Amino acid sequence: MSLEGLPKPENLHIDFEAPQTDWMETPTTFRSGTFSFPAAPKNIKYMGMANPREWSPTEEDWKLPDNWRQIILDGLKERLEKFRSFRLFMDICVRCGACADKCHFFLGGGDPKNMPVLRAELLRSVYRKDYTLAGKILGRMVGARDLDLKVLKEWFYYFYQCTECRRCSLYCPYGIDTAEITMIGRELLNLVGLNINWVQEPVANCFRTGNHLGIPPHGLIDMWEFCVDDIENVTGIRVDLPVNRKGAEILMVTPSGDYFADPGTYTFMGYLMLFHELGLDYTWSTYASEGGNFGLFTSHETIKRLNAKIYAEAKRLGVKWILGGECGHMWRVIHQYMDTMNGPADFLEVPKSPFTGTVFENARSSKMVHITEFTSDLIKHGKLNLDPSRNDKVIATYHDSCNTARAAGLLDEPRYVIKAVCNNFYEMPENTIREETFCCGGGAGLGNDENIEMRMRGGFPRANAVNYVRDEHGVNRLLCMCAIDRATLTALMHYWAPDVEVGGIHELVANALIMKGEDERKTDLRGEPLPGMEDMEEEEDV
Amino acid sequence: MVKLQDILITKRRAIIQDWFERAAHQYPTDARKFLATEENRFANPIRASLLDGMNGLYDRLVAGETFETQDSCEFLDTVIRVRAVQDLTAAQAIGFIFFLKDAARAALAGEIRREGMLEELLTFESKIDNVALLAFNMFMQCREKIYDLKATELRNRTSRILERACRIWDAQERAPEER
Ligand code: SF4
Ligand code: SF4
Repeated sequence: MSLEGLPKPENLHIDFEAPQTDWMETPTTFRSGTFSFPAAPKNIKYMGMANPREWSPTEEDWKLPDNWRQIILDGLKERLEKFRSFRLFMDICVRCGACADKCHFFLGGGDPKNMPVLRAELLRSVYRKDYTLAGKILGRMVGARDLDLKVLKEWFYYFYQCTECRRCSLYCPYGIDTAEITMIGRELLNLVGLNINWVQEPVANCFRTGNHLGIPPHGLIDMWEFCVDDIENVTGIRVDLPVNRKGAEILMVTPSGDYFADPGTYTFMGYLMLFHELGLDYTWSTYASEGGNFGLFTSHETIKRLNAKIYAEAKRLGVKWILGGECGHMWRVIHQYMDTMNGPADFLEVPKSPFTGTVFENARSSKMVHITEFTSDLIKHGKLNLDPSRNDKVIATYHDSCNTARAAGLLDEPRYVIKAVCNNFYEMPENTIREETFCCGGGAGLGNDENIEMRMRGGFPRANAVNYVRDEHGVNRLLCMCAIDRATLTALMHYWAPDVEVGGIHELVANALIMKGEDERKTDLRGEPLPGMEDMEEEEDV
Repeated sequence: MVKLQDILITKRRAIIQDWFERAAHQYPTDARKFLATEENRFANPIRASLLDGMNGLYDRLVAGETFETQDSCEFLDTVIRVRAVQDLTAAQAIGFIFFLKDAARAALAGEIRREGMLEELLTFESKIDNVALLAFNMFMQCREKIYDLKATELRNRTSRILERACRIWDAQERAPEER
């Protein structure tokens, strides 16, 4: 027998190579698990948006209006005139590639069209064809192409494969923000009825009842009261639950994810306990019952329509200022759009902590303060009685949510709070946190079940960093302050790091908070025994 | 007499490099250069996971380990997990393991002929086959996990509160739309 006589291993290789075509030539395939389902017609109708119908991305006919091409080109023209930044982003990219390897979808999946520069090229190539002389004359040679059905389908696939996290923009020497290009891309797609249900249903629900799940006021109050019961079980204290109370000093707005899903509920209980202990003069609202705003993933118009309720409710209730909970994209909207879209809120006062006297200058215009700004200020002034050892079973790391970190600059406040309430805290590697944080892979409406494979791909860079601190330091809790994160990271950890749990910051605050008149705490908010209390639990069980 | 093991130790770097390049060809052209060059493991997690798997397997093969249980292939965990969610068929996802055979034969052809190490090579290669079979199990478990996540995970997460709320607002009306 000789080496030559053996079958060669490469004979095994059937179709092992990836397609070797240029990106423009590579067709888009809608593989199950990597795209989101279309919006149900009733949710489009409810918002009065275009082309409600049943359709499927995997079918040939997308049931578009006959003049879809003209609608999109007109829409493009309108937006080029309206948004100077968009026009600039179309013109100034030098294709240097600095952003190319910064997108988590590219880093986890290896698909070049997930390089931000190519994602933007999807739109830019069409822009070039119609708006630049070179494009008109030279076409493909200068990267210009016609808008045909193939291109439109590619847009749908890849613009709903960008979580608008803005990581790429951090590295662009010109400050080009691909997330904004995606936003415009989605706006254009919406003009012909190409949208996804995971975005459109919360939008419609929110517009109808004020929150993503469409829960009416009595349902909300009932859910909140269940949290009050749970708190009483753990602490023996029945906390206040002020709802729709006119004349309160502060209106509290949080994402509905905080109260309809674990582990967000524990964070919600955390707020209730903190406010009760402080004796804060505040109120919840059953109308402004949603901090989240999926309009951000739809269109500028929809952001405005959904956001309007916050100032309107603040005015109706006559509060002085607004406090906001642990949410991600909500803060992008508040920070970058609320004031100009629905403000000025000159009927409100500049936020001032009633306990420390601190004036939140950063919120002078928006009148809305982030809960970690509020709590870190309390801790700094020694206003809270804390026992961090109650969280000793938690070995924590912190995931900066894209929007709070990159869009709102909230980097140190959450860390300050975490370190005050938890003795074990370890940072993930520096190129994966703070401004450089990796997305959870499920933001911007992509956190749905059907898109699960794409989420696991996109979340891999984040999970990879979590695994590192888990292996190095035994980390068992991934903290974050975003309702979408709390849902998507939970699934992500189940796949990549099953021994790491996900949770919010104010859950740990509440565990550590020593409340006046409380029973001796035996468990944390999750009902798990506190360190040193394991035996007592057992005794009680007997 | 020179042993296969010794040559594998001497040529470790070159063989793994060649093996990696073959695996990188499973990704589109525009992605390949990046995959091969960025060395920071947090900036290029696909490369890191591939190399962890490759180095792990190579060193254990050279050390003469046998692979009978899945636990003995722990070092492949991340890379299989990654490939189970990428745009690859099952054969492609596992296939990179076999590329080690190509890389080893290409690097060792001369020695194998000269030193008559064919038998040793065959033993080496059948161990690789073994690992590939175990990796296939791992791959299937990942896929099952994905289906599981899809079917139950998120619903479970919301059920506690939803159940309560359902008592209040019209469950029947919402049921057909439930995600
Ligand atoms: S970094 Fe900026 S200029 Fe360079 S390719 Fe990306 S978007 Fe274009
Ligand atoms: S905004 Fe985020 S998801 Fe979108 S292209 Fe940039 S890095 Fe990728």
